[in-house]
Amino acid sequence: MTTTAERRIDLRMSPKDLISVGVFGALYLVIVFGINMLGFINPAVMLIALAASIVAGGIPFILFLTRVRHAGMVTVFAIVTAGILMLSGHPPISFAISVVCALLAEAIIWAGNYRSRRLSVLAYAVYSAWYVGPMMPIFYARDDYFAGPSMQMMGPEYVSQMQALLSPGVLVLFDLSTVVFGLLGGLLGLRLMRKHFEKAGLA
Amino acid sequence: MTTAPERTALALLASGATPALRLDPRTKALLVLGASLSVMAPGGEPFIPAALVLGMLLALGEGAWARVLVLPLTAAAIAVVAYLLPMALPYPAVGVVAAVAAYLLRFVAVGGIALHLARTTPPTEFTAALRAAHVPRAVTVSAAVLLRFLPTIIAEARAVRDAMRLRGIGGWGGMLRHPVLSIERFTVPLIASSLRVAEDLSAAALLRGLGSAARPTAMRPPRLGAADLAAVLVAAALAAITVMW
Repeated sequence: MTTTAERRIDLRMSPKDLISVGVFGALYLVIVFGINMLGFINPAVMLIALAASIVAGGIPFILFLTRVRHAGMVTVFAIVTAGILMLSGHPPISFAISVVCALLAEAIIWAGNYRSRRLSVLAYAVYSAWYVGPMMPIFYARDDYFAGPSMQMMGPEYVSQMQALLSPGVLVLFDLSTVVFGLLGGLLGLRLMRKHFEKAGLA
Repeated sequence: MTTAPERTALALLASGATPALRLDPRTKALLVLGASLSVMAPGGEPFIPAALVLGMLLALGEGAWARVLVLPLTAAAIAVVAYLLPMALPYPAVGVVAAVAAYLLRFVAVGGIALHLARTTPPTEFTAALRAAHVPRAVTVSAAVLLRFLPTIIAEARAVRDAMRLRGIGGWGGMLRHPVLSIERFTVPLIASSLRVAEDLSAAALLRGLGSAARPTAMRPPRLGAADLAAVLVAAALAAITVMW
């Protein structure tokens, strides 16, 4: 079952599809990183830059979805972009999360028959949940951190405060907020597509 | 069939690009993934020194002298923030910064090895290695296109940023005041000009047979050699020392 599905996906990818995946993957990475770089300059705007990069990523992603006509393209997009990120040091679990998010996004745009604009906004919101991936080690490796000798000197009160701040609940809240920003990004992408790209014949 | 002078020319070309250490891209990717899997895993903190040493050895082999020094210094500076800062300032807000720094330390440890991959592997060699590793065509072709377009799009992004600065918009000040507007002003010209370039480049690539069923040959076919064996053994030894410690 899975092998036939894979083969069909591979066969139906025309070179033009693969070029779209590559071009929009590169655009997505440059836009997301270009905006996140602003955050590295100044720690105060780090979180704002992160949110802005999620919103901005919606613009190339929505434009990419207008070129998607069949299953598998969003998954290949995720494999390629997350694969590059993994080879530049992102944790492997982030790759797995990206692919899962892409499969969910595939299901959503499939439900819209690859034409629904409203569902493409939702697909980007779901896809942007991958942002939790690079944060995962902070949470799952916190016991390492708290077990270290420097933390043992800090006293139990401080450690319990920190445990509360780095709890799974906060992680879930973070991921929910990325989905909300993803929704905003999808809407912005849709608006800009109508305002600029359709006029220019790029959509 | 290549003639003898052609072969020596190829050998010269191959040896001239990077001075000392030449690893197969597959080995480099394996080292990055291995380091990432061990360092980023829960309980992976003890592997950080081993990954840093491996990153420094790779930088030495590559002749990147600056990185040999910068990598441990960066790691040390981040380690100070992660482990010594909370002792000086025991507040939860500082603690969050310290916990993020502890993660950043892992990131730097893997990143040192990843930099070796990025700096010594041209995109064509990388895609040849992906093909040799039997990665599906859909992934190799789109990865090749992505790697080909990345520098072009980065150049376009710089141009857009310069144009924004010239008009006194953009920067993080502008991002704070008008976030949506600055996103629009940055992304729309970037996407529009990049897609125009992409159209031409993809037409050229299609004409040259990108994505055709025939298996392309590589100028420098990926070959596993003694250097790869040595690199893997050194990495394994470093991991073993960490586990034994």
